[in-house]
Amino acid sequence: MKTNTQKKHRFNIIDFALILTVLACIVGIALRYSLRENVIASNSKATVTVMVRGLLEDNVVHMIEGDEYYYQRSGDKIGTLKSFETKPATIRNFRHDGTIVETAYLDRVDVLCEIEVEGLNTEDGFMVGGSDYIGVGSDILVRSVNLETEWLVVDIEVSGS
Amino acid sequence: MNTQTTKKAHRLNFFDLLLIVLAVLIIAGGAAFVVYQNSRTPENSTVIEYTVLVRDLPEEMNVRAEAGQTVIDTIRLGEIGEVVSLTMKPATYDAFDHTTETTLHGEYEDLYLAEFTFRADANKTESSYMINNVRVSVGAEVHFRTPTFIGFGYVTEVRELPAE
Repeated sequence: MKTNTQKKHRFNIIDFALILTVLACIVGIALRYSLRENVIASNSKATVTVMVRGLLEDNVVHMIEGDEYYYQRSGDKIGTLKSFETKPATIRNFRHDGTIVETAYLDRVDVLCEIEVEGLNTEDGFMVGGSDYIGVGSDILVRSVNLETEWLVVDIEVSGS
Repeated sequence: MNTQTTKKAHRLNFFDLLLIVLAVLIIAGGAAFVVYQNSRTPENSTVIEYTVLVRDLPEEMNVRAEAGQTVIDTIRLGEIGEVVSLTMKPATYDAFDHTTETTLHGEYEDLYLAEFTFRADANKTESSYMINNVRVSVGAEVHFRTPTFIGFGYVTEVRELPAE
């Protein structure tokens, strides 16, 4: 006659280690996304002025106001293109006497763009989406649905919540 | 004939408890060691001011810095001092004047140099000053950010401040 004895699971060291690991993960995630000590505003908006240097003039048609831009590497959203203005891109040349003369490219422009971003204004600077630092001097590879390009941040104006 | 086999269930025993206690002690000890290392005043601690030169910034760039802002090394993500001052100057170039066959030193009209001066507690070693594991000496390249600027440049000056 066969008897079935249902094995009763007893709490053991492996269970304990697993629980510890799960707890550590939860704590780690909570620390990563929780409130930071230095947060000044819970949610802020900023206007970031960026320069796109030497863009081919034919590609200006792909800069569309209202387009959303994302970090090329992470895919996280940065902000929305509010407005832009173009001027001919220049190249520096040296005259025979060593002085500089600037001449304009025939087919390239420098574009000054205003980007509306949301994030956290902290004591360490403005954090896009709460986690990505952005400051004057930031060099960022970006993309929208219409264009991939590189931004140089030249100004940031935080406008508040 | 059927044989009944019962597998012995593992009970938490003294050795398991010992292992757990040992693991907790190792983790706690390691954490305490890291905290202690970070808070420890270096043996040859001194206060220095150093200048970092950032070159060729376009005129459209609104470079700002306020005294007291924290400076962070963007590679190691450690603090490397606080801002003392910022000076902007026209960027310069050297070119060969073919007419006189001499070197001409000129200033760009639309490019600038930014000289950031920082103050920090540093550990003086035989070969350099170390700030939070970042070597600071004339010629060293520093990648840094403040709340209002991010960039990199070369250290052009380091001076020890007299002890207070």
